[in-house]
Amino acid sequence: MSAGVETAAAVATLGAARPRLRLPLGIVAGGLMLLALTGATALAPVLLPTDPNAQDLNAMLQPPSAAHPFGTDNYGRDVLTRVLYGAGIDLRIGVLAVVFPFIFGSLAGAVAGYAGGWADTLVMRAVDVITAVPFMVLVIAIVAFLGPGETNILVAIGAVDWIIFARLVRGEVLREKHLEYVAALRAFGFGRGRIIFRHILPNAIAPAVTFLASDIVLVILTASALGFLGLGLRPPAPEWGLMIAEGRTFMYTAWWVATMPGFACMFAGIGFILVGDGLADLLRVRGQ
Amino acid sequence: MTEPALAVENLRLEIPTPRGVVHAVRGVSFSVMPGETFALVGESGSGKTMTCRAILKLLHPPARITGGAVRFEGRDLLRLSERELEGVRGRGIAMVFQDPMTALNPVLTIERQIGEALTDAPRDRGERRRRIVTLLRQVGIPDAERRLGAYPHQLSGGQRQRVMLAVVLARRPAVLLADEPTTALDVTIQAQILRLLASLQQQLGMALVLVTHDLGVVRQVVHRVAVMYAGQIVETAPTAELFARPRHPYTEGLIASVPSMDRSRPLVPIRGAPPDFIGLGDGCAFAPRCPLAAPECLRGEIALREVAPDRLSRCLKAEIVGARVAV
Amino acid sequence: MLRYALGRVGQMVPIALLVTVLIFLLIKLVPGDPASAILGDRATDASVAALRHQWGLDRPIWEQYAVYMRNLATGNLGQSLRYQTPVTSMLPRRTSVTFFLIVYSLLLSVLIAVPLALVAALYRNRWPDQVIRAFMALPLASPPFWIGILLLIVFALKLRWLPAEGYGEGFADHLQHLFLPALTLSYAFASVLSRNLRSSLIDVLTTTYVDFARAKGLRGRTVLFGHVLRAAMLPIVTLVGVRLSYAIGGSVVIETVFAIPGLGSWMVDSILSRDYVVVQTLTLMFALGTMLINLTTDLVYPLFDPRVRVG
Repeated sequence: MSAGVETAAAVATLGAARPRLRLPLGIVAGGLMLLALTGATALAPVLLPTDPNAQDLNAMLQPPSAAHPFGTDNYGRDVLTRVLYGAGIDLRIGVLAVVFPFIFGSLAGAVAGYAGGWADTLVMRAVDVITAVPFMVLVIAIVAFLGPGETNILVAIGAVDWIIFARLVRGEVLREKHLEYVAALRAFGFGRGRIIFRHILPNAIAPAVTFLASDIVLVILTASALGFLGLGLRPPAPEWGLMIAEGRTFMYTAWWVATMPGFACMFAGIGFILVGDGLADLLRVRGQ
Repeated sequence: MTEPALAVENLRLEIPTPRGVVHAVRGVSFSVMPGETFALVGESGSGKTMTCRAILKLLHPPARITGGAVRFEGRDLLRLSERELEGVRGRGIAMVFQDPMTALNPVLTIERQIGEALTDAPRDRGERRRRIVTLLRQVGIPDAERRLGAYPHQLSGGQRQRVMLAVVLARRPAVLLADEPTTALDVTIQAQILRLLASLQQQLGMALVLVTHDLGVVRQVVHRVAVMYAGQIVETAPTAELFARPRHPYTEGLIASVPSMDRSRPLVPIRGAPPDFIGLGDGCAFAPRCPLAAPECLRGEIALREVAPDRLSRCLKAEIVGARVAV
Repeated sequence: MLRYALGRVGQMVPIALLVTVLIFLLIKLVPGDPASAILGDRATDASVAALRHQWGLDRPIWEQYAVYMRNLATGNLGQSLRYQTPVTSMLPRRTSVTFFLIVYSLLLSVLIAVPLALVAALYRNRWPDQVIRAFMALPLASPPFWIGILLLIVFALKLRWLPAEGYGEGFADHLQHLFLPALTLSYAFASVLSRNLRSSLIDVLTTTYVDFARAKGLRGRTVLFGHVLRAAMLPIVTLVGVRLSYAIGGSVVIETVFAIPGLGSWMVDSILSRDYVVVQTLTLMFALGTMLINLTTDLVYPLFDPRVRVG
């Protein structure tokens, strides 16, 4: 079983009797969490009129209070506002960064799996080479050479992350292409391209789709790690990793600056994981 | 009148599932005398394996025992603590399992798996080795010394079964529960294993409870048979009499569905399908498939009754069953 | 067995070569001229030209690669501009620190995951299981460096039980200093490990051979440790191989959080000071190290699982 369903199950058993839902509890809980987060982020300009970069040097490093629920940082900026705006940044990066890996990786995997031969060798060699270097190390190295910034982060992650999808889809396609309906399609004279895209891929894509949610979490964690190391967005952007790095200098006296963004990140992560695992359960049940 | 080696009384077992409670064993009773070979016969799902596991309380959750008693050496095993039960297992009552492929631990050597079963194992490793080699020879494994360091996957199915029996021999139990000991083996090996079982029985004066669905095996080696259906015993009889004249339509159907060597009878399968264990209600569980079923068969609880000396049947029509079978 | 080992090494070689090509090409990503970028403020026309000549940047690309490979083969790994020492002299010490950290964290992971998985499997679907699974699921969603900082705040700064950073002198000192960082790193791996082990244990607990072991009359504890754990532990070895890449990647960031003088913090330092050659070399070191450890786990696995042994 997977992380999110376990968390959801734990929550469910510790709580009261749950209503009979058509959807797994995981998807609903996770979906609500994400909805709450994105809603809060989108509405932040309205709900919290403070500018995230507005400094108030009279209110530096204030602990959490009614006026500042998450406290203030060393420039007197409201941490809650910054965390919410940061959500916008990290969620955006998370979603954008998986687009290329998902599309390119799935295509590469599908072609490699179906065509075999040199296409397969090419793709799998590339996968092997990229796998040989630890994920984070390679991403960091690429960003190191390209330079910091949001675009470069997206490029670096895209260049490395696609292999996961390639492997997943290739495995599925390898399995699918031996099924009878493929032989039937070929006997009818359908071209390879059509077979791959119109018929095999829709069946083979399911594991890749369910992995998408976990991948978004992986990407968000990677992006915030880059931010933490100073390789991501530049200050004064309220990116979570960057905020944690900045808050680290004051962690003894003002722990809230470094810890609050992390809680938000964890919240988002759990939301995505729950949705992803719930989706996996749904697809698994339907498939049977 | 000697005491039975083992007596099961009204054993009940259920398995809660998301769809409902499965009553896998519904009031099973039988007893076995020392030195006797007793068979529990039935289709898969009839409850025969569950019964054996329940005797030694080797059930996996969520299955649980809900009633009855198992009398052995003057005690009710179902009331014993796990600690006390460990003393009975192996030494008093032993069990061998169906599929030799999966019954031995794949990452431990043969020597280790037999060695840990030795009662009063000698301290000296060499002496222990000699004992194990002797056991292996007794169960007919050739080249025993060289096999000591072998792993289960390096042996054939028949050899693995023999290793299991070597473990039994090491413990010298009073009763052996053998769950389909020959089902996973080739026909030629089957005969060898059955002979081995018989010789072990003689050596140890052991009572043998044989669980099987293979009537051919039953005919060869068994003294008394109990036929199980849907979690209950539906007929008990000495072997020869059971085959000569069954007293339950299910038994009759079973016998008729076994191919006979001389092709004198046509192959007649039992029509219908085994019941869904969740919805079992009143009356005879076999009635939906029974050619003799009558309205009274669907009502109330039908008890096992003595229809002839040493013969029990759970059929209301026991008297007319089998009158047509000429074997 | 020897043939299998040689076969695996043989498989590794072409990939290792391709990895060197990849890493060689990475430095081409630097926008503009790498030589002037590295020299930065110290750049003069003459020094830039000299550096370009030294690296063969004025020659065709395959010749540059040949130079690069020759340098590698002769142990010339470049000079750290930041520290003004050859890379080769700093490498051993830094590698041993990182190695210590990773092994320490793997050990902690196993120490944490095994008992938890055991309890979860034995109390399957009851409350201890639910609590353990929920707790172990959290690190998958949280940034490891943040967990490190939390641990730092609580244990090093507020409670003052453990040192906040650095490596210390002497083995016992290392153990103390590296405890929090290793713990942080271990949380993520322990999460995956405990989930996997729990599955494996549940599978093993319901096998026939465990039933047979119990039917022999063996004591419960003997069955548990002699049979169940022995069989269920196998996935640990494979899992280490699979997850190692993430563990090493995580160590880069954790070393920065806890100011540990290992390869990871060296790499980050070098990046921030645009010491590109060192970054390139360290990336290569990481890759080769990962491949070696994967090879080792592959070769070690048959020791644990007799079914896989050849001959």
